[in-house]
Amino acid sequence: MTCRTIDVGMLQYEDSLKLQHRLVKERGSGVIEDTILLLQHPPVYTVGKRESEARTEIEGVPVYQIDRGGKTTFHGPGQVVVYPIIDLALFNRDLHAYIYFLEETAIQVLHSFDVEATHKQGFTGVWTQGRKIAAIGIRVNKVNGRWITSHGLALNVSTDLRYFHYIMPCGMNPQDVTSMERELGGRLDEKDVVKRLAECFCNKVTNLWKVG
Amino acid sequence: MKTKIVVPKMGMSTVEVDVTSLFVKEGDRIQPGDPIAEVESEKANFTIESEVAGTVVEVLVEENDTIEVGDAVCVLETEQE
Repeated sequence: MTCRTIDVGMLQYEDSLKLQHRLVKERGSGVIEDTILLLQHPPVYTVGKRESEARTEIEGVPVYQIDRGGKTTFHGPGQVVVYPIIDLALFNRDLHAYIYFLEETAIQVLHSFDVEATHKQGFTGVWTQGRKIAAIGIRVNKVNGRWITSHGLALNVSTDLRYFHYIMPCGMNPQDVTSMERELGGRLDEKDVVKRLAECFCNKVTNLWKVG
Repeated sequence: MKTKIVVPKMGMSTVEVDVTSLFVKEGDRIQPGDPIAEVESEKANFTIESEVAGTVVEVLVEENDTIEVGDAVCVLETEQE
């Protein structure tokens, strides 16, 4: 089983939902292989199933109520979003194992840029010195008896962190969100991060299928 | 015949889930594939669907409840003998 990556670039949030919906159906029908979408969104707040948000915009930024796990978060330029459309058979339908895989892959990529990053017991996401650098929220979709993933991971590369100040990101203090550039104190090319994330995710998925 | 719709196994370490949405009430007629409830565990969202046709005779959970894998969400009276 192979894996492909698609670097979509900047994509409106709504269009990314439609794209994921189509790919989930295609993956569930066996028409396509596991697919890793990499993209960025124009500024948008998204609210998971655990919270309700009456506002349709916050400081001029649109708010979407969506069907992923987790609470409220922000997506915007400078944040690389990874949406793996994967058959969870690869992880024996183990949600914890899949989320650990998402975290572990991001940690490896962060280490390759000399950014310290770890798991945090009991707190999903990737953490740097106690601050969250990558957020995770996923959905499992049943298609033709297969469990197909959507949504995924959002890694702050050069995100304008002020956007987090208007919300309680994942129920946390906004000060506790960080980015790669903030940790490194310098500029990064997002394209390099996208490239390494794509390689790392695809290699791992391909190897996992080989191990079977 | 009565059939329970239960929270499916989602791996070794997922024990509890939170009910984030409930889509059925007593008396509802259900077809295979119809959504029964949405549950969340560790930032992962999952819709529990019915695999059989029937009528909901008892709903055993409420939204925001925390329940365990294997627990029944509702009971259906199925149309098969």
